[in-house]
Amino acid sequence: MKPKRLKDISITKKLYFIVGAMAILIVVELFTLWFAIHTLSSLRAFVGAEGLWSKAQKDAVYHLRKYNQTHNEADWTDFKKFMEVPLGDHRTRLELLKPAPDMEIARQGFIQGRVHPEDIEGMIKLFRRFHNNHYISKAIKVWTTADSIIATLTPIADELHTDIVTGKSPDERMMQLTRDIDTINQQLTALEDDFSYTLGEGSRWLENLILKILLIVALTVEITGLLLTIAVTRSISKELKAINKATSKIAKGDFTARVNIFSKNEIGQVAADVNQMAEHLILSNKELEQVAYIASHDLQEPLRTISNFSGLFQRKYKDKLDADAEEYMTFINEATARMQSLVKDLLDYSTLGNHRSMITINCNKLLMEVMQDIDAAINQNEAEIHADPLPVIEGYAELKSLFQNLISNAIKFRKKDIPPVIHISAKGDEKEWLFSVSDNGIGMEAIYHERIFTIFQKLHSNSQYAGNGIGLAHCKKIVELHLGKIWVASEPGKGSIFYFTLPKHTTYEK
Amino acid sequence: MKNKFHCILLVDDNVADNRYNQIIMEEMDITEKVLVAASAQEAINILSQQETPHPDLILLDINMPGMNGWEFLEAYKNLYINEKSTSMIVVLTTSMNPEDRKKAAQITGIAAYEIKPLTQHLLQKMLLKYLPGTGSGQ
Repeated sequence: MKPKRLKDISITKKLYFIVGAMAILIVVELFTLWFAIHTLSSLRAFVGAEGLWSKAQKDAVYHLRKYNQTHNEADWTDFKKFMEVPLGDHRTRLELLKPAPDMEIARQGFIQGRVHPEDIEGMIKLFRRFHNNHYISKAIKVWTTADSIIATLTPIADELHTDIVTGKSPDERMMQLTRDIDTINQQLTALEDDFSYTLGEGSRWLENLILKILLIVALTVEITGLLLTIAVTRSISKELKAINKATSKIAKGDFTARVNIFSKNEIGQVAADVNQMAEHLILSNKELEQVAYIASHDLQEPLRTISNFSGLFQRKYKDKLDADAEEYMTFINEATARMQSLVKDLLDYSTLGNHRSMITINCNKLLMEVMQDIDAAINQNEAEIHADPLPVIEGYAELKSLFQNLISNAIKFRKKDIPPVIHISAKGDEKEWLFSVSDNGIGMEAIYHERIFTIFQKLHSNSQYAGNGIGLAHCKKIVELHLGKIWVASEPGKGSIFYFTLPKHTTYEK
Repeated sequence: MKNKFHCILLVDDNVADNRYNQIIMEEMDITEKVLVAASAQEAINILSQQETPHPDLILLDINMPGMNGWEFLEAYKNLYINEKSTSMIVVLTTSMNPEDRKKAAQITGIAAYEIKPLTQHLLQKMLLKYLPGTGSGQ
């Protein structure tokens, strides 16, 4: 399988990937945090253990000196007891330096060192993992030194004990021993301080390091998240823009508009489908037009032959025709002419809006043009036409035909003795424009209010009012082209008001 | 002496139209001779014959079965490769399709594009075009 291009990967997958990547980075962050806290806690435990070591050591020296004074065996026991603490720690240190230490021995050593059991595991891990770290190894060296010094205390204490127990305690010797003990104590004090300070330094260093790491990881998460999101958003936005550009042209009637396709993901698929739909629209329009032209051509041909020859017939045999024959010929001619007219109207109706394109229309100017075009009918009927200020709208050029039809009808269907008065107005809300064309003509009954918009439907005979009954069907088709609605309010003898709506088109801001 | 065409050639598959056009021309007495071809091929045959005089006017329909009007024009061009034809060709058709009108306008040799039916007025217009400076009232 050919490797997919990056932009062809599904957008859903990309978004999930971003979420997943962020989740992973956050887990890394949390783990880092947990590790940092655990390590610092173990350092704290070591410092605590050192405190216990120093206290025990001081207590031991205190009781040794006391023993020196009191010669009380209880004090000697206490001295021994307190010495157990550093000894325990010493055992642990030695065990942990082995390549394969016995964990139980190490544990027991720390327990003897009075370390809290829950801290032991962390301290052992810290020692084993980081004994090469600058601070830890320094602290261990200090510890090692202290161990060797405190080890020298034991033979001196034993010598003292023996001397006291056996009663042989020459003052000189005792004073010397006391001085040695003091020296050892002082040395140990310095080392204890050193150990603490070193661990303190190590702690601060680690804290600093962890904060830096957390910061870096956090920034990485942020920046990665941002960059990924921006990249995906931009590509989605670019593709959607391309679709928008083409679909708004297509919606306005330009079916040749095509979407630029940038990828094969979901959006690219939509774009391809839109292009196909536009193609279908062009094809079906072409087909419709062709059918309409062919049909009208095929229907017109025999009509023309009838018309031609009946005309010739009437001309040539005028003298030989009686009144009946004349009447028959007249019917034939009129019917033929009417059918020719109907076929032409049908052709016009079916191809209405086939080449639509949306333009900006100033309805006031449009009205002026219409009134000029039907100027003769206006004058003949002494019609008055008033209009409120009309809006400038986005619509199809066929709108002119709509106005012309409605106004012509208003003039045509006038009361015999009253000149037509026609009023045009418009009002708009955020959804649509509502136009109205009202007249003072003959009006019509409610049952006809819908029928009149059907093609070839007339409410009167040809002798009463001329026309094929196609005007309002045209109007309806034009209004529906704009996705609007048209209807009438009317009563016999009380004139009519024709209403139609033209929805407003929203274009989204870039 | 009245001005009129010497010979008009009608090319149309519709018998009724040809007959009607003939009658109109006779009523006007606008041509000495009328030749009728019921198909484009027949028209080519007639024109190929040596004895046939060059028609002044050829009234040509477009939509015909077999060879249509456009194909006739191709064949007609080949007939007169060596000598220039003096015939005025007028397309006389039912088609109101703007595509056809455009196509006719792009072909040199077509003098006009008219919609049926043929009328006296149209014939008069063609006569004026063919023999300028003639015709009544000029």
